[in-house]
Amino acid sequence: MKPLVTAIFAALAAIGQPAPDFTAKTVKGESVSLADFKGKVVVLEWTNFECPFVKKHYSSANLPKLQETYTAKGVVWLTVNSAAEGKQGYLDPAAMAERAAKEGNKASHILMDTDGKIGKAYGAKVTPHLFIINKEGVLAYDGAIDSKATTKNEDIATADPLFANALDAVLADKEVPMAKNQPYGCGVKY
Amino acid sequence: MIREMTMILGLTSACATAAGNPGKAAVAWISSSAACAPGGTVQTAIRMEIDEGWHTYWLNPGEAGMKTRVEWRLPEGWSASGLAHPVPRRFSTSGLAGFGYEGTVWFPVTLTAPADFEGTATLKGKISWLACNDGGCIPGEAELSLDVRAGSAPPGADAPAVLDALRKIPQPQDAWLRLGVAEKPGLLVLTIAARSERRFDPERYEVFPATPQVIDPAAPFRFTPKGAEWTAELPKSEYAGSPVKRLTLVFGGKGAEEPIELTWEVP
Repeated sequence: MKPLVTAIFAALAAIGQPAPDFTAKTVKGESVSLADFKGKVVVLEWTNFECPFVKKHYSSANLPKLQETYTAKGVVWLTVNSAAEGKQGYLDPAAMAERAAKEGNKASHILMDTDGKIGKAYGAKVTPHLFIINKEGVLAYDGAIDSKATTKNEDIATADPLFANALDAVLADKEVPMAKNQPYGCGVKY
Repeated sequence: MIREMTMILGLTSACATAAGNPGKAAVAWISSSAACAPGGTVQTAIRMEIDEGWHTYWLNPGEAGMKTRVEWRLPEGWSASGLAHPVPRRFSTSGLAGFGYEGTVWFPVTLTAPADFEGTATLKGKISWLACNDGGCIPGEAELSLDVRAGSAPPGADAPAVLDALRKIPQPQDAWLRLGVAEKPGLLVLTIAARSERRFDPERYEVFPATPQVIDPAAPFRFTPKGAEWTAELPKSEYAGSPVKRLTLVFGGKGAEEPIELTWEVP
């Protein structure tokens, strides 16, 4: 019997289709919607700071560097926490803001998705899971941060940077290589 | 003297139980023999004892997880097979379908000595794994070391356990069974046919996809008879290549049947 959560994933986001709209509160209490960023390239990055795969990409500064590099190019980077209250990865907005800062997070906004609506609309399965929305509002990438599904920092340098390659392609209006691939990480704790 | 030893052992295991293992599993590299002939092989196995309430992953971990891997550091001329994997079981972790193990699992490894092997060799490896439950995931890693001396020796005390572990590894049956795979939109149609009079009943097995990203990990296998063949339709993995090129299925007996595997490949 298929788990209910997997069945919900079949619902909304698809490569080449308009990305599902959403509204959420940031950790600062501001309300943001995808529609606010019309005309911009938007990245959605699902995170759980307790997950060893997320720790790999933050302790190595890989994700913070990507956030810094691409926000400087005008990309809107949204880090999303879809953990339900009481589950691993959940932090209240103030704690999430503090922890993200401590981890070096440089996202444009950090979104609280505690009821999991945004995660389920996109089919966010694990952390880290990366999505790219092009400036036409179409979903252009759904997949892994890179090609080596390990928890080791030293594997980042020799991995294929799948997400960064895709983002470069989106910014250059070129065809996105490996637009949909299997992300690796810990299950999102809806 | 024996009583003292028992007390010490008791203390050690109490400590281990209370704290759990770092990485949620204890691993040991166990050999069937202390010796290996030059140019010969010796059967060994890595025993992984997983803390209660946690599981580690199969070579197809499923929708998440991470397979167990070993980085060998062997003396010149030696070679080691990959980790042979016994039949897994299914897990749903945070709503994601996966395949793996809980409790104690043995991964056979065959070692081959160089033709000029003499004296003693120390073989090393670093094993890394991921242990998960619904609460989270913990990566584990351990250094493994095994000394082997050149020559012949009677089977050691661990030989029965190592050979038992080997027997639990699915064996290819492509000589007498043929697996066929055909594609439909979003689906794969599997057929199994016997090449001879010998009968095969897939209903006596739990079936698992060993090749990642071909079959949806959450899909149950239900083979139905169709003439002399058995057939099943399964949803493709959302990450399946187009066209699908290769699929290995592992069959774990529900009763006394030996575990088997079948492979289909585009010629």
